[in-house]
Amino acid sequence: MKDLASTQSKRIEVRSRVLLGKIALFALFVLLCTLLSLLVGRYPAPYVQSPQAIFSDPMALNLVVNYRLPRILLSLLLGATLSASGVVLQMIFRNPLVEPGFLGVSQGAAFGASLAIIFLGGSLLTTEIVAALFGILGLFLSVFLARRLRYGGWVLRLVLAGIAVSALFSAGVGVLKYLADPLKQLPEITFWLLGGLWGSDWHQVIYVVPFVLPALFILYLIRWRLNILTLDESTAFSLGVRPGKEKMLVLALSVIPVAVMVSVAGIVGWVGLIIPHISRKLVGANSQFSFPASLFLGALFCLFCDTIARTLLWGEIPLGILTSLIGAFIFLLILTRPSSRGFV
Amino acid sequence: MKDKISKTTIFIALFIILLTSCQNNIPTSSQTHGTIQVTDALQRTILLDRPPERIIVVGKASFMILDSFYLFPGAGDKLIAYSGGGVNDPKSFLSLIDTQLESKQVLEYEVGPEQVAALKPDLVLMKSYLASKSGAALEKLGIKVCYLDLETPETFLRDIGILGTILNMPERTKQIQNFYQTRLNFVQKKTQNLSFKPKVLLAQYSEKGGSGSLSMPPASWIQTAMVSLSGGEPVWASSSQGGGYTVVNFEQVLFWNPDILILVAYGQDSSSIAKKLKEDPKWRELKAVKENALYGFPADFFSWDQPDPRWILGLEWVAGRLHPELFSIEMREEVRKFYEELYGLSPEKINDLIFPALKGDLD
Amino acid sequence: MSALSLSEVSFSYIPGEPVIKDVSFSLESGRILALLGPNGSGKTTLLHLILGQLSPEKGKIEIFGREIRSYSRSELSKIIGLARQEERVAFEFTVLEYVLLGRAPYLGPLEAPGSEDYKMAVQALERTGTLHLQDRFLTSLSGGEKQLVIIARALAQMPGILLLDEPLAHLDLKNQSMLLEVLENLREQGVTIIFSTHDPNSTSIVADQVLLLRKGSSLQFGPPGDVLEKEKLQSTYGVPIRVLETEGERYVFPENGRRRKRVV
Repeated sequence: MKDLASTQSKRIEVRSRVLLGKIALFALFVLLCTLLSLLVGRYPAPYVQSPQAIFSDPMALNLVVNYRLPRILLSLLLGATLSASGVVLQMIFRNPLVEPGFLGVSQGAAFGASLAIIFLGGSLLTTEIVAALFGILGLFLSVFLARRLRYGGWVLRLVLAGIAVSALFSAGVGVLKYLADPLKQLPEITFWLLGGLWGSDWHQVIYVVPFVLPALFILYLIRWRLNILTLDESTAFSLGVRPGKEKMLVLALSVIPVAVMVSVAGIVGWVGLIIPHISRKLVGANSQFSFPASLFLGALFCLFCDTIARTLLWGEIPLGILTSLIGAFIFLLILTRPSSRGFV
Repeated sequence: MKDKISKTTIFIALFIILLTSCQNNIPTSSQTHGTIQVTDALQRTILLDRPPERIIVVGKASFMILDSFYLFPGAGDKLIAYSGGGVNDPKSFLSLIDTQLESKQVLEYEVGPEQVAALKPDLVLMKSYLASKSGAALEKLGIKVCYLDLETPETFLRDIGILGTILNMPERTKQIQNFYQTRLNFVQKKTQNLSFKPKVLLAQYSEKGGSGSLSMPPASWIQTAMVSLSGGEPVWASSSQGGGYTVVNFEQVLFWNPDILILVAYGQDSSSIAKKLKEDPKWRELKAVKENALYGFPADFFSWDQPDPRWILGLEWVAGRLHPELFSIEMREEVRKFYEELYGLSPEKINDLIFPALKGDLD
Repeated sequence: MSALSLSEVSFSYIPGEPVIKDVSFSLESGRILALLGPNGSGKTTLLHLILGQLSPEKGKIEIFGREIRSYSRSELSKIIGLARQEERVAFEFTVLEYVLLGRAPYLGPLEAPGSEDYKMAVQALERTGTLHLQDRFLTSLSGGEKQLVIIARALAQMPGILLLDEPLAHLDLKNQSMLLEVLENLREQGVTIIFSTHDPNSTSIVADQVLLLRKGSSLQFGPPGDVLEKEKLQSTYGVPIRVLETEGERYVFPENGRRRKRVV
């Protein structure tokens, strides 16, 4: 019996290593693509430039260091944050159809950021904090509303409530923009609702990192326990977990980074929805692996989309349009495949 | 019996006279005195049987039409309502030249046709791009609408002609057109056969918390025309599509690397924005910044880069910046002449009210 | 040694409406206890009280001689395991991944399962005869297989006491028999088992003790032979009962045999 257990256990370990290898591969890919995208842009020439072209030109070097690099970093962080949040929300709410943009988090954050810009001076720090508060409020309202609905199962109720709350906050941003005196420098509506990283600089990176990296890191450390939060409350209790408290902590850790990223990048949708699905397809539903996979795949996806956004045409393409376009396309592919894994 | 017949006849005659006098808008070919016929910016013919006494100006950017409207002395008496509010509130300037402004009704920019109809206007003026949105609804209610474009120097001069016809002030029309034409000719003559045309980027600073982007106006707008007329090469003109501002990121700006960078900011002081960009490490490597050719577009009550009568000041300023070797225009003197000749402001008023409102890198 | 002991335990969700009234009994370790009673009699509540998720208003609960309140959550999770009737998972975990979740009590918040845990999970699967299902998706299993896997997850906790909520409810005869056999094997390995059921016959097959519950009160506690008695059952279920004794076992039927067994 013991021998059987040992051999089986070894087999499981090997499997585990294979999955870790896959994830390491994703990480490597992210690194490679990051380096490559440093050579992609509109200067000195549109699309791809050689390293010599960049190093021999002080302007190009300045561009890469002071504009491209922070923008690339922000797109990586954005993708990782949205995906991480997607994984967490989907597991906690046991609902594969949710993402921060569906549960009022992104829209609440946009609303909060707009408020901060109009009424509170709009310094980056203030904006981020108020955005975080309203992001949490958005989630809270969605869940609260879902509990009060009497139509359909939990999955449907949550999605419906989330759509309502999202719409409310989006409209709120529209109203603020309409009423606000442009002297207060409220960014265009298109920025908020469609997202964009065209205003990136190191200043934003410095302000975003303290909110985002620690939260993602902590989530990464406790990633296996996320599985337990998908279980029923009694079962989770029997395993020694405090489901209520742990869920709230995990939610806070996933919502705050999203809200902070929204305040610098606007609302970028679909990433949090599809990347977790793709990760689960590639490495399984176990969050021990699907979480880190989502981080890297999400970072990769946003990097890819933003590189297109800033390179393809002479004018900027809003990031949210690209993530929606490409994201929805991939989503359809997943849905219509004959072997429909990853969905219940 | 005779008395009865005569009484009846008189009664019937009076009745007929009453009826005919109650009827409006009967076009009679014999009535040529007082009829106004004008072709507006959308090539529509508008027929008014008498000079309009109740005029309304609606729509976003109403200040552009209003400022042109008030170029004609006495025109303000005919204005009964206008769209106002927000950062480009026409009131800011009009209150200086129209003491009766408070008595006029202020409407929303997106005003509904019923509210306009309730005021019983003889004529409604609006920008031509609002034709399908707002104009059509008004026309369905039988209200006469005249569209104005003002978007290029040519159409501006033409539209001044339209306003002049509506207000029946042909001499004044010539006066105004002359003011513009002389200056236009002055600039054009000098920039006609230039061998060197600096690359110019004229853009709106795109607010977003960071400093990585600018917005380009479409090629068809007056900003682009200003740069070309002043002897510059507007770098965005060949690519510019669309009907509104397009955001370009910093890489594209660097790719263009214009000789001269002009920043427009609505509602803010463009020179402070220009200063901010000069201090940003990213922008330091730009040729325009290195050679100190980054300027904030001047403004007083409204920015001078728009299809507002002030565009001529904008043009003169741009010419002076682009070719200082050809133009040494004393801008403050031009401002004074502008307000004196076109709006009839006294020198004291200009000193006290106009000069303090000047913003941007004027000098 | 007493694994579980309840004295005068009462509990109500809404004050004034007790769901459990003055229940007392004591269960020796290594025994199987069946909580028998119609739906609404408080079986699940009682299980949650034993689990420690609910606190009694009155009375005392002791686990292995210590008051339940004196245990930390961490300690308790290594002693008591819960296997609910249904585990609705929204994602496609494999059986192995699911069973590994049972190792949570032994892992710190920053830890994930290691080779020791893999061994325990494998053993738990073997104890329930489901090792061959380890790579299948939880959602693709039949009702019976799923129930056994849920038990395996609870077993991965290495519990001294295993709680099962209506484990037999949706199983066909074959699966019921498999499950009861697993329970018997576990008893032989020294696990104390408490399962709730509304079917009297399953108790007589495998239970050492039966607690007959009616509207939160304990009508009787004792071996099946004592509890499965016509009068008591009739007053519990509210329908005429026939008790049949054969080969030393007792079997219970509603009086009008044609009527399908209905939940009272």
